Amino acid sequence: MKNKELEEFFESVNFDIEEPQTAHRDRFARKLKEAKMPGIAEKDSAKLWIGFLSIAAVLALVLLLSGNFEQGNQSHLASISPEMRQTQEFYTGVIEKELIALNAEATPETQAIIQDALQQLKKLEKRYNKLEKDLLESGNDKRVIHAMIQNFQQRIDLLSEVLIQIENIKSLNNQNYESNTI
Amino acid sequence: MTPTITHINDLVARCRKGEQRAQMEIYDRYYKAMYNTAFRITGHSAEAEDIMQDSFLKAFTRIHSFNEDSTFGAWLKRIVINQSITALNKSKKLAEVSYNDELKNEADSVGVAGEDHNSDKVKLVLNALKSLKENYRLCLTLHLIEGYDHEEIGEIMKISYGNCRTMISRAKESLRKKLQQHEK
Repeated sequence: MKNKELEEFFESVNFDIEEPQTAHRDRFARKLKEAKMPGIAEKDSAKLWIGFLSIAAVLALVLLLSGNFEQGNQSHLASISPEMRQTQEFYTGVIEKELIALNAEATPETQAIIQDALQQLKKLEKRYNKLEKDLLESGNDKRVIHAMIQNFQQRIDLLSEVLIQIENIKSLNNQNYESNTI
Repeated sequence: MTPTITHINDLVARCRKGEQRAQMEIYDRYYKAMYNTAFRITGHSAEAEDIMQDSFLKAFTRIHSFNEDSTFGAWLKRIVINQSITALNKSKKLAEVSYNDELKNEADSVGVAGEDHNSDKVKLVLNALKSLKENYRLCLTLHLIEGYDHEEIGEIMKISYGNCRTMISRAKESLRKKLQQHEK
């Protein structure tokens, strides 16, 4: 056999004469099922991740914006002096705590009163925002600073009053319940 | 020819979506060629089946990295060849004593003999190939049967182009001699 013949022979002939052992297809089907195929599964998890990420991004944005707003609302009082910053931090801390307590008390019976309190709180906040503008325009007038602190106190008073009222409603309900059962 | 090619592209597209039926269809289409390729390199039927099936799994998990500048079959075959050579090198390191299950091959190829008029000749050539030393056998298999050119074989076997050329021509020469002995 010459070289050329050899090459021609190789080109003309099918060398795939072997056949894998029987049931190889079943074995492969099993392997295929066991193997984690990235196709669909990965796409799903990728979608999930994109979902998570987008939620996280929105949350981060909201936090950032609200943080900015808060800073915008509060920076003026805090920027006057370190003491003022402390007072402001104290008041905002107390207000936050009271708000959390208020939200914890939310029940169908107290919903009306809480809604009302939140509306009042919004009014006070609006007034506070106006005072901030005044503070800028007046050049840190002491009367304005006093009004702002008063505003904080009013908010705290409002919240604690509402909490007391809620407490009352709860005890009233309990008493009614007790008298009914007895 | 064109309809089958578009059909394969279709199947590949469905595989990209992770469709198991399409994957099985591709398996049915290519298993024989891939099994034979792996078998010619490793010389073990069980190992060849493992390599062939693992290569399919590998191909399916990495289907996104298949860019359609070659055909799917060629891409798949390249995976099979790489896997087979890795297995071959591993068994060489372990110095495995391979037993020749020639009887089994005999029994298997009896059924195929009818399809192929050159079957006896094919077996003769394959046996002659088997009797060559290993790197001759490997480069000739890749060159004559799988149809790779010198450059590609150099890349696969990790040798330079020049080395590959001389190795192939020497291997061809010794194969020719072996076959002449048979003809006498």
